[in-house]
Amino acid sequence: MQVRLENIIKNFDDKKVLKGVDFTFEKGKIYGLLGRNGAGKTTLFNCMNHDLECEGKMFVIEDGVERELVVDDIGYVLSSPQVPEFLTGREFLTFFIDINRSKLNDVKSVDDYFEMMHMDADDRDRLLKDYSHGMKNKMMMLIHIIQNPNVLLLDEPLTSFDVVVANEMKQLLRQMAKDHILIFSTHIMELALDLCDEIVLLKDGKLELLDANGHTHESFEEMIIQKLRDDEHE
Amino acid sequence: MNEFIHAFMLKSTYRTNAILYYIKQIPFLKDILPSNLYASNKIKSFAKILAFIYEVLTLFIWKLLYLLMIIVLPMLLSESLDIDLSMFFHILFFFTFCGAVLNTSLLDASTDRYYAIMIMKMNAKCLALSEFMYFQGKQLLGLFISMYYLSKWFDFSWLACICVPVFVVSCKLIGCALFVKLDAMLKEKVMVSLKVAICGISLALILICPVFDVFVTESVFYVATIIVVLLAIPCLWYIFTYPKYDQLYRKLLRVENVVFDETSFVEEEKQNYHNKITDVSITSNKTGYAYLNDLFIKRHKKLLTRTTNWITLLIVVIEVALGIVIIMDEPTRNAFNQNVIGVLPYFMFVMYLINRGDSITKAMFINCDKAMLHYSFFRKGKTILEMFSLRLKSLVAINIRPAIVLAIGLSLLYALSGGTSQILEYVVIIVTILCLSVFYSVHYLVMYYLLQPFNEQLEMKSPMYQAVMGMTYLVAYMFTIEISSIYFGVIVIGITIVYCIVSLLLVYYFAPKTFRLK
Repeated sequence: MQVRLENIIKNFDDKKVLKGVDFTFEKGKIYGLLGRNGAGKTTLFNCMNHDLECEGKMFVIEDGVERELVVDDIGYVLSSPQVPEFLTGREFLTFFIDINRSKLNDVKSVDDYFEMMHMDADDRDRLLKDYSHGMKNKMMMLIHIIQNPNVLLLDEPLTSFDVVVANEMKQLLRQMAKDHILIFSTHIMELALDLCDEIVLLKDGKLELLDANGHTHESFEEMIIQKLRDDEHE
Repeated sequence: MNEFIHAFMLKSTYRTNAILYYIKQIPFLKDILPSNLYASNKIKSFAKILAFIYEVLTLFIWKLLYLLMIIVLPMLLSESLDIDLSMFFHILFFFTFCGAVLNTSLLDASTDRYYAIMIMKMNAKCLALSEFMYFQGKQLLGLFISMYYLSKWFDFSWLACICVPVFVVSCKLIGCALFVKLDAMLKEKVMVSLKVAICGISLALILICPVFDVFVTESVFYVATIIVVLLAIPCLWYIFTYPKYDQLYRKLLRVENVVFDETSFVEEEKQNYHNKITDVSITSNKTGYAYLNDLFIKRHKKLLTRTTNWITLLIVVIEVALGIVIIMDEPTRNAFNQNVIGVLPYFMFVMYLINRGDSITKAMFINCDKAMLHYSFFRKGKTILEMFSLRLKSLVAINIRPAIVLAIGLSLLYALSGGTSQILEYVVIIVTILCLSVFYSVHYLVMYYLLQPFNEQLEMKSPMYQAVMGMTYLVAYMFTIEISSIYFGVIVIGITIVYCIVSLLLVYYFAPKTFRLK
């Protein structure tokens, strides 16, 4: 499976943010999306998530067949987790599985999912409003894992986790990447280089794939910074 | 002086930019205006002129309204139409104490002050005093202009025109000196209680004094003016020589005290709404979206059903009391019987007041939709419509309870007071009130779905929504007239049914597009 973006353009009034993004993402890979502040990473995610309207074409190519990229193809994990505060973790999960049952294959029990995320038994029946930031994030991530969309967009998702949980999440993301496309936006270079298979720069309103071949870790890092530094800001 | 000019420039920049921001919010205009509005000098000058006009207008408009209110207040209390200036000085005297405590400018923690002192490191004393003097000058001039203007309409002497501003300004000076002095000595909570106590006592004295036949008459007011002026002189000296403004403001301008924009309010409000969620023990045996909606309604009992239950109970109490009076007292009985159909239009306003749609839709957003709209499955047209219909049922069910009690109670009272031979009148009373209840429930929910006015930070992003809500109040209020005709009820029933059908159709076609995060 591939997801192809063709000539994606997005302007806010006179400000051109995305200036014709052309890129193909492939299944089985984690893409690290790097860019300066204000380069348009969130805008690109919002466009892919159909939150913002944009010009251009987005489609999925599966077994040689082309079709339009739809909302159901995308899962978007935000840096600030969003969960319905009045439900308990268990209720949210039950509700979610309930309404998506027809679309989900291989549904496990709610507790199995909690186990998978290493969530304590006591926490499962607490209201989400009393969850910590990291736990809400886990919940949101879990929903997207169950939903199993073709493309998972992750906006700085690991920053709120402690080191242990962050490590668990990394393992989980690596596992998921096998049959998904993961696009990971971050400002933490180490994380990007450590976790991602490909580094993509959002620069001057366009996406650019970097080739790490022939580079040492340091020289690759150096190149990324140099390229980002060159990014002209209007 | 320099500090003051800088601070003033800063303030006027805020105001100019705020005006530009509001200009940009106006539909149509925002499409014409360039996006780099804030950099455009011509438009900026225009906004500056508006800011200046605003400054000039606020010099006396509020004061004029304030003084007018003091003139009108006794008329409202005594329900007479004669202008009675004898209470003017009495009320003004005590109100000024409240003002001296609450509205002083010197000890206000405002955003522009925070930026000026904490960020731009301006000299706190110079800034505070120059702003305070500007404020006092504005008070003096504004009150004088207002009094002078009022003296053309009402019987105020030239002495009053001078003494009123002098009295107010002197009291504010004394209040400031007092609180600057006390600030170092007392804890913040004690200060707040002290302020509340002073205001409470002052307001109480307005009403208590006349009971003992004690009034602040015009001549007493003049004597009081001389006394406060004499007291204000050492206070002025104290304020000007007080050395520790820097510390004072550091304490005052702590981040949690300053309202930066709406976000701190919003954080508080969000917390408020989150706190309204009640315990986990309540569950639901429904499934799917009905499960979500059911839990939402049950877990927000505090906010939704409990308030409505209290309103319902209150209606019952009023109706029973009215019933007893109707049985006991013949004139009331007859008056009730004759007027009950005539006051039916008032229920347009009453039903507006007891409808909880406004806070319920807000809770829906803050505690549910703000998060859920991030999930693609929740944003699908079908889901939006399904949730809408579930919510509409719940909202109508909650709001109809007090309406039923009101409608049936009113009909029973009507019957008790002698009733009518026209059965239709009872039907109209009941159906009109129920219709109005449904109407407001539909109205709030439809507006929420069509205009979804909040962004993620809970800021109101839709002037249209605010306009509609304002209009709703206005229209409802306009119906507080007596139309002695059964046709009013029939018309209301017709209009509400048409409105409901039209708005539900609008939701059906547009909500899947409009119900999004801004």
